[in-house]
Amino acid sequence: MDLQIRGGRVFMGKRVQVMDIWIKDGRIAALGGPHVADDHLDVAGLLVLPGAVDIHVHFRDPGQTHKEDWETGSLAAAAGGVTTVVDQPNTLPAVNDASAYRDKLITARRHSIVDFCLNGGPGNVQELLGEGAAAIGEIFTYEMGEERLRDLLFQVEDADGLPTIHAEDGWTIRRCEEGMRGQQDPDVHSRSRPPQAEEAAIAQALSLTQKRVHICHLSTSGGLELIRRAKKAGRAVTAEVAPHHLLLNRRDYRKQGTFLKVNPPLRSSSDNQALWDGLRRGDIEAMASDHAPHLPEEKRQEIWEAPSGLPGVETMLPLMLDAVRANRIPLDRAVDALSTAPARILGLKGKGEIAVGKDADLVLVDTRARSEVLAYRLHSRADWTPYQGRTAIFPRLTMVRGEVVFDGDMAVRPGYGQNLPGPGRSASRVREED
Amino acid sequence: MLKRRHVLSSRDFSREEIDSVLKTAESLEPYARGRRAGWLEGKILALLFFEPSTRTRMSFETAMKRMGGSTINLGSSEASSISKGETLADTVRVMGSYADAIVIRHPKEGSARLAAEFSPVPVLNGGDGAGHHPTQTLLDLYTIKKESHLDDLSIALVGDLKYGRTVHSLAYALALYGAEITLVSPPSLRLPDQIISDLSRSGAKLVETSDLSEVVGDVDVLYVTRIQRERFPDLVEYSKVARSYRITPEFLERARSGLKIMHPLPRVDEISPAVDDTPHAVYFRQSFYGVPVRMALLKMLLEAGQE
Repeated sequence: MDLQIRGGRVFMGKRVQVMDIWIKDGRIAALGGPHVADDHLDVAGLLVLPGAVDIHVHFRDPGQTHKEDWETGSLAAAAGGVTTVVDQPNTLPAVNDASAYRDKLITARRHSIVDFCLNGGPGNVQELLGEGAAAIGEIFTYEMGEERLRDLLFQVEDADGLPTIHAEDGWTIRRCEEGMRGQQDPDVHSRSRPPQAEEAAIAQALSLTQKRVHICHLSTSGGLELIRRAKKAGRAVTAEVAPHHLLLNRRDYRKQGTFLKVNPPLRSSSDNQALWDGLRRGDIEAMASDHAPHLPEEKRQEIWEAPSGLPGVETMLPLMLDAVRANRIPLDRAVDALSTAPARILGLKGKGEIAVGKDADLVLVDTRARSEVLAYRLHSRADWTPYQGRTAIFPRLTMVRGEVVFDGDMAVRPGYGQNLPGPGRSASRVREED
Repeated sequence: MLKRRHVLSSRDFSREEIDSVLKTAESLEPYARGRRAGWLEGKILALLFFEPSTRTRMSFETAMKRMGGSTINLGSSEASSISKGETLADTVRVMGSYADAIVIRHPKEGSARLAAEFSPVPVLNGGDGAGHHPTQTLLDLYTIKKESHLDDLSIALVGDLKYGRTVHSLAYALALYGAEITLVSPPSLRLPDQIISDLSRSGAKLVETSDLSEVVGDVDVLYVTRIQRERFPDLVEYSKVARSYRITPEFLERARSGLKIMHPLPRVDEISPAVDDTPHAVYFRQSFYGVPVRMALLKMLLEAGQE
């Protein structure tokens, strides 16, 4: 064995037990039992969780590296206990074909300190899935007409890929925006993108394809109701929720104004409650940060001008651990939503739980070490957080494939992170390159 | 009799159900033309039109009023109250508590089925996105039955067969009657392969061509749809194609004497106005037939609820 993680309180099989973890070649080789290892890490008293799998981040690299790049983004992820990220394709240039996919792959391989997947955009679907894209999406439904969306979903279906849907209907939004153009109250952003836009887009996606669909960052009680019903009717549909749709709502514009502009927008507190309920029950399987960093000077513009998106990859797990402490959600559901379910949704077989044979992606947490979220301590280039001053439980140490990647500072070289090609990539290609 | 509670897609209908709707429509035609009837007195139909559609809305209103019922409207301007944050489910629940049936029209496919999920009263799909428009299909079938014949029918579907949802639904329904369907379209706007294979499996006899003049002498019905300029990369190509599918009196010299020309309207210049006065033109009657067909559906749905 290469490493013994000694004496931790290990989360496995839905509960916590004190147990040694034995690691060999980056994988969990044994749980408990006497073995011999070259090295050991004494973690008595610490909670050991599987690393979070964040299936929705925008690392802005290539194209907008003043907002984020693979090194700062992946460092923020590691500091927040995220050991795998799935980067969205709307970088500049967008990842719509093999060449853009490969270009981003080169950058990510060179700079990421956590493992990663790259999603493909609404371009050459067959080609992107062949290259190893984990999924097609997020598909911005408000940017395309119904025919285009139908064609795209058909192509994804045909190539046996998974479409991930940003469900907001453009027609509804444009109608609402018409009469609101002059208004400057930041809340106008929520009113111009009403809950019905999300509902119509979810209903539409579920109607246009009969195959598996994943709904990104679900934000409304109405949308949740549609997903519940679709599941009951036997549809293969999964959903994720972002921390900001659980923890923030329209009232927060009063304090944070245009900084909170995000799509889908912040909703009401009753939507917060409904989404917590959906997450607890597992109707919403996964959490994903939708980490979408912008600089404060960009966010500070007037509401129609400010770019949409909030940073969140580093604060997601810490805020959830604090929610566990406050009894808002049981630990097993939180871990499932942060790690196991997202890995399952994207078919990442080596990730998402602590079990023999899985990658040794571990997060070590002192559950008594509550602290305030403070922007200056975070690692994203965004340099601000919508959760300033909230209590959270940050990890002590984060490990990817048996290597410590973060222990208060970056602990590996950039480029340690590996690509996890999606199921679409043919076996022959994998052999030839890896 | 109608077995279903909602009318969402023509593909939900069996041939027997379609026949019974068409038969009822036929018996209601005198009332559609103005004879007094009070079957639906006291009944209210809610029109939930999220996008404007004059023809569909007015023919539903006419149908309801001809039978003594009345309508309430969520006009397209009030539809922007969606920005107040109410869920579509709640809007439908509320409307359903006011009215005895709901017609919904929405630019997104799937909305009618969504509405039906939550509605306490029957929902009729007045067209959702590029999805379904079942009352249009039923009135097309009714027109064919009245003006030509549904059995042993030979029909040509002409124009944009790729995106035209009316022709997709119509083709599926015609397959139930074993019709001989000639598909006439420019190569880039062919009927999608998936639909072609579905149709042949369900009993339609299909022929594909891009040359309209080749088929005009052999069919009972020409169903013409609009070819939109946006479908073509350049204007020259579009004009060429549009010209070659234009129906003119000269073009009809080779047609069978009983040939009927249908069009879902509005037309732009697919059919020359000079054709309007020939016995071939049935497209204006076709839009009138929307009234008896919608009357039939409303009567069947609302009276079924009374027993």
